[in-house]
Amino acid sequence: MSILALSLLLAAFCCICLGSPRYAALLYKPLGKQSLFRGVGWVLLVMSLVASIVENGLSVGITLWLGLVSLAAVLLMLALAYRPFFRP
Amino acid sequence: MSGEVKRKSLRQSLGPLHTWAGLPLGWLMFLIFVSGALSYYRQEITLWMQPELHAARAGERSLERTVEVLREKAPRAASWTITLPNARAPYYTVAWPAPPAPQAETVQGHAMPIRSIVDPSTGTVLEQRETAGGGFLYRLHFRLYGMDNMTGRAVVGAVTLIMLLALVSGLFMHRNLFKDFFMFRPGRGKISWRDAHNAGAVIAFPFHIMIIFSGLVLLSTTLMGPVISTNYDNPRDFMMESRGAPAQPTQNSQNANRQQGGEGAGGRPQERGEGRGGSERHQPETVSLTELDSLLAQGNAQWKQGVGSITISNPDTARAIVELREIRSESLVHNSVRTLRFSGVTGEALPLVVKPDVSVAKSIWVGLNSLHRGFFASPLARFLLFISGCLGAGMIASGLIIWSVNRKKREDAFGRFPLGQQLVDILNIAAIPGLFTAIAAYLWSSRVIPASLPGRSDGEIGTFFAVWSLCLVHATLRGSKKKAWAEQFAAAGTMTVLLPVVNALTGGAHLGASISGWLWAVAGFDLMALFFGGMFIFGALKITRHAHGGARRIELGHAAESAGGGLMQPEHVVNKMDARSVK
Repeated sequence: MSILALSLLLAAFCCICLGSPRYAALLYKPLGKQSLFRGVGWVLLVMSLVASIVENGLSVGITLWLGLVSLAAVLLMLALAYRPFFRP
Repeated sequence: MSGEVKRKSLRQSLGPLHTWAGLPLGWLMFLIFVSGALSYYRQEITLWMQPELHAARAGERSLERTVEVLREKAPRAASWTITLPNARAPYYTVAWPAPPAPQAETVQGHAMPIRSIVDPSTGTVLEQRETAGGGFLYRLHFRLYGMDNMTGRAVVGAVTLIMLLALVSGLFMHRNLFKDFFMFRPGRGKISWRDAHNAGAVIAFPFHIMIIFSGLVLLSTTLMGPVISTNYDNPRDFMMESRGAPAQPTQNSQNANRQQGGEGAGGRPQERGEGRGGSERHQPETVSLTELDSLLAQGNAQWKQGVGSITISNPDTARAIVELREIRSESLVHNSVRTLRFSGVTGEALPLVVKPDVSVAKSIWVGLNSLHRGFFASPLARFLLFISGCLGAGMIASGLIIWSVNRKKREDAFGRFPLGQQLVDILNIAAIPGLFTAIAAYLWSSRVIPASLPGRSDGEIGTFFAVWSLCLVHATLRGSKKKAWAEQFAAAGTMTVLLPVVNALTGGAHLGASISGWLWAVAGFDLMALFFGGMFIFGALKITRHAHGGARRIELGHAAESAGGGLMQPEHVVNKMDARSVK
């Protein structure tokens, strides 16, 4: 069910977010490790693509991965937008 | 430096293009996206609209019982097709070609096969009501309604072309494509709409470009008619030649039938033209059919996805052939799903018909077709396609609303609405919450109209358009457009949320039964209805609250607006961080 690819994608997007100045400010005190986060994020992104291709074959794997990218991005976007609601 | 200036001017000049490409046809685009997204689940929608079929349960009654049904109903048919129960349709569908009748109902010249539904747990034939079903929404998606096929397709094609223009111009207008990738700031008026519009476009961009481009390619035979007519005397010849390989199971079986009759005749398109029409055979001798279950086991062992359907040509004769088809393709570019062929008498495997190599153009066509229509789609992929379609609909809706929101100031200055803006407001209301109300009413009508009433599917379609027209009238007559928005969303929400209740009360499998019976095609529909209905009601409440908030804001002056600020961190904090990181 492509759970591995989706989890990797979520992790990748979280890392990319942590690596960007806009969201780093919201989430943690920037420690000057933003490029590291970004790098790890992109590596995870590629890994999720590989995971999807291995599971579903080349053509369907890439297609499914692009769909998962949308899903993961929407989930993260909503989590970031409505984060204040969930904060204790 | 000069590059900077140039880019700015490009963006500025693209603005009006984006606006005026998007706005005039935006309502039609929204209809096409919503009905298209729903079409991914048209089978489930049809199933929901036919509660008689909800009785079907997975069961141990074997395939043999289904074959007996076929033997009773169509003993002399040229072929039988049995679609096995699957997650989307939890019952056997049996089909056989209709007897040739010159004035028979046809869809694009093909005689529609006759279908019956068999309950796997009891082996009985389920008599379902007539309904327009998900097929109505599906056809609405690509050929609209109330006009002939070619005109409808041409209109949709033109809208698609303009949609492509709007999408690409929007992409170039976007300021910070990657920086703003996850940005959505709710509760901030114009900014929120802009964020929603951008997010809907950017996040599902691969889907949008794929769906719009492949949509154009799918409609290319309509849009590029002159190209075909200069090369072919009759457009049908082009269709025949371009299809080449068998496209539909019924044709497929007839094709196999023909090949069996004249050895080595091959599957050339010219042959297939003659092959049609011979749907009844005239040899009365009966030879018992081989055990199908063992053949099925072979297919299931060979394919990861499993067997989707079985076609038996010349059933119960010495020339019987059993063909198994994989449930869906594992690749986008290969011509079709894999098949296995067996002798219908001895059960031994037969060599596959060697299909000619597909050309590059053809495999691109097949790939795009498969992508657009989700032929490859597993349940997850189908869900992702649906979600992406919803994002696209959200993008169009927010784009339409932005136009209106951007012009709100004019209303204050003149003390009245300019006519153009009034029109846009009215059409926005009728096209967005009005469409949802009409779809909800359409689904209701399938349960409210008596099941045995003749011509009831026309009644369902009539209900859809009647309610939609009412929404337009309501939006026109209602003085406060904000209240019209809220009321129509409330109507759509209430009707949608109540769909599971209607389902339970009018003979369908209620949520408890469908979930415990693993009837996910029905349970999924009800859960989706609850979710979307809840969203519509939430939207109605938001608009109502905003309307009251707006009134208070005017009393307090504009200071209240900035104080009432966003739910997310105020912009200046973010800006400060940006500045710090630059340092």
